[in-house]
Amino acid sequence: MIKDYSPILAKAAISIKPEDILARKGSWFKFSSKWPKGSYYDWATGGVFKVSSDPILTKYPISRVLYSQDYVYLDISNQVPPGTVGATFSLQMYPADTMVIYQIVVGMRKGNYFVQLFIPKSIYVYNLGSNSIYPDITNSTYRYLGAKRPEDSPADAPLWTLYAISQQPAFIIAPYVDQGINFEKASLEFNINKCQLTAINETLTDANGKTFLNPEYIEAKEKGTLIEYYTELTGF
Amino acid sequence: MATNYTPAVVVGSIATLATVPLHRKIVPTSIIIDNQGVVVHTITFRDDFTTDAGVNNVAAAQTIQKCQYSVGAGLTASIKADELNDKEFIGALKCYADSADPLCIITVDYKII
Repeated sequence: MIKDYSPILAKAAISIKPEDILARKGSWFKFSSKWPKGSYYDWATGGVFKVSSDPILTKYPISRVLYSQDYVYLDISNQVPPGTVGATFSLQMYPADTMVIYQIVVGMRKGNYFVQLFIPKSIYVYNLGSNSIYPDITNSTYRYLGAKRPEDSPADAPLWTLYAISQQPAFIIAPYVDQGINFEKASLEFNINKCQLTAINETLTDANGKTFLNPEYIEAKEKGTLIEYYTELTGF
Repeated sequence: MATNYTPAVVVGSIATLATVPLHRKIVPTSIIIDNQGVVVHTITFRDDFTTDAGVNNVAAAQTIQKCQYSVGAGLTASIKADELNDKEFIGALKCYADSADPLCIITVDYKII
């Protein structure tokens, strides 16, 4: 569900092409069996898929101007539609339909800020094994634990990828303006690679009616990008 | 690189030299103040913006003085990029003078980052 690339890739512009990071037609995805069965995720759980047509890349920049040592929660799911009375609406970056996955590549413009990632709110992704510490954005020491700075995923060469399907628990991104500056504009560039999926059957049937293992399924299951359920991202 | 210039305008009559795009910042790369008037002028540059509501603060309009230059009568002040690199504007790049003077011209080059 999350892919991080080493910041050194941002400097390797000669040998890295966008398609090395972005999914394209024919790319494979496999979903963990931890996605709950009998739910919205029935179509995905344990399945193996390929991108059925050329993806469409949609940019969606989001900025917040904040005081020093202030932060805001950005919910990128579709859970709270715009216009919902009495609520801060979520940013609607998830697919609305099944059989679609959005590859969301997050870049950050330069500034004196960092971001924390939760899925959903209060479940930290970039924590450590110890229960004694966690990325606490209210704590002067632990707010830096697992934080991502603009240099980790620059807007012109983003390296941080989130994956989302319909009705998935919300990714919450919290930009925090660090000390040393009175105000800062935290600008995030979301590059949403919209991929339609088609399932790869585990078996095929030959002309004689005999079933056999689909070679593409075997290869995709081995090499496809694994999309874990959010509970698999923590606890270790 | 964009350029904008304006005659010096009096305090209370602020000239907007550039409005910062929503998801970007502006950094001046050159400021030239050509004062062909007969008095010294002090020119102030400021950043006007509105903060978003955060966990710890409500949204509020802000006016931040960024830099100020005094230029004698008949003189030209030229401030180059290496002195302006750290002056980021996040809302609107505005300026005003201590007194209006059509003979005092302010020219600002800037880049959008």
